[in-house]
Amino acid sequence: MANTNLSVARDFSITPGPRAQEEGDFSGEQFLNQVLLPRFKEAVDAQMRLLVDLDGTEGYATSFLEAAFGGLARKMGAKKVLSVLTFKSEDEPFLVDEITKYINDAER
Amino acid sequence: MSKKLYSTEKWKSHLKVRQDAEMRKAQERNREVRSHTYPRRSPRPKRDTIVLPLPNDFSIIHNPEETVQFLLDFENRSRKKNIKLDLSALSTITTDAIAALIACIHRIRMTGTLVSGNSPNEESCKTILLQSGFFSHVRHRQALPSADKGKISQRESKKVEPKLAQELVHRGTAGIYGQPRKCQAAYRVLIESMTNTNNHAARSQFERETWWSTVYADTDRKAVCYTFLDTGVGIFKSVRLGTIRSAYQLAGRIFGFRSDADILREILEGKVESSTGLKYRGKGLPAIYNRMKAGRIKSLVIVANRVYANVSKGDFRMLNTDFRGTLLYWEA
Repeated sequence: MANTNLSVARDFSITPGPRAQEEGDFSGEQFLNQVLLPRFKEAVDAQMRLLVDLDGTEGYATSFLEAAFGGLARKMGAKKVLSVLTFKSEDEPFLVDEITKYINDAER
Repeated sequence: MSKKLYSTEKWKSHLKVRQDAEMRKAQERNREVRSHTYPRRSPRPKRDTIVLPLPNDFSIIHNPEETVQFLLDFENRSRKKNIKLDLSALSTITTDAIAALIACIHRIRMTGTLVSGNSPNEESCKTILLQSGFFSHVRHRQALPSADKGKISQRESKKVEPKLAQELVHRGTAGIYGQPRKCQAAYRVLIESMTNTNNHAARSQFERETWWSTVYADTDRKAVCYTFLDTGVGIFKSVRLGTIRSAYQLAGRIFGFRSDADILREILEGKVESSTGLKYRGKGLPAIYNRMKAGRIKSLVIVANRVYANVSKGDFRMLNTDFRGTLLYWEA
């Protein structure tokens, strides 16, 4: 399966913020609705995997990651999300495990 | 050629009569205004000034009992008297206590009480006060050098501010390395703290509290010290945590005593479910704890209401005095 990629720093913001849009700028909810979900759907339609590049930002709050990736799993199903998304995180390698956990826990 | 009307003698004399009449009316109006007596504002009652010495070790993270007690005394005494803070005998001071002191001064000044103070004799304390950004929030008589190593920011914000978090991290890392660097762990704790303030600090869901965030580059120890202080009700009295606390207290009565310090330990370990009832919420504090365990942040201290937790040392205990709000201190 071929890859398409999405960079949080390039395509969204280098300063990711809180969970919900009403809590502040560059929220996980905003990232999900404006960037991640449309790109995920494109990747599914094109039968491609979507590589999410987490590097290059100032960092991530838990609530941002959960709202974005857990939120995607709540909309599209954890199994499907894990079969389409792959991650790159050289700045903070533990983020990949953390996000995978949020995706798996999202539906429970 | 006939003369223009406004240059005739008749017109000029008519104008003079009108001007005199208008002047008389104006003078009369002024006399009436002057003769009216307005109620005089009663002068502000003169207040005595008392001298309040700071504890020698002015630090919430190292000397919580004495420092928290001092802050409470400071607020209580300021209700009746002006305060002169005596810093002369300080032997140590840390940036967490400076943030709490500034927050106190800010609150007290809004009531009209005057707060003044002197300078510490100890050079290292003088340097920390100067470099932390303390003097950006109080008036001073002589010109002072700019605070290159630190910054104290105050917000009465309803929003999480990612750009401010970035600015603080860059200020701190520039103080240590000479140029700004990223520090994902410190950025994460700042954003989590701002989010917690919005969710927990206010007395009700419709109020917002003031919060303070500070950064200080400790070049001697090569550490960037961060403090986040919200002056709200504190996490143990917050609307959201109130129900969890009640449930724990009930369980404590049945199965043995559990203090707020025990509850905080269990929140950090991820054993307490979010008060929203949603399993995927309430992961902020556990994530901070995990970053500390992974060695990405150091010296994590949390003080909220009567709980003092030096998380890095595993020292969780109850204080004798109630701390107003929630304070997080960490180094990166």
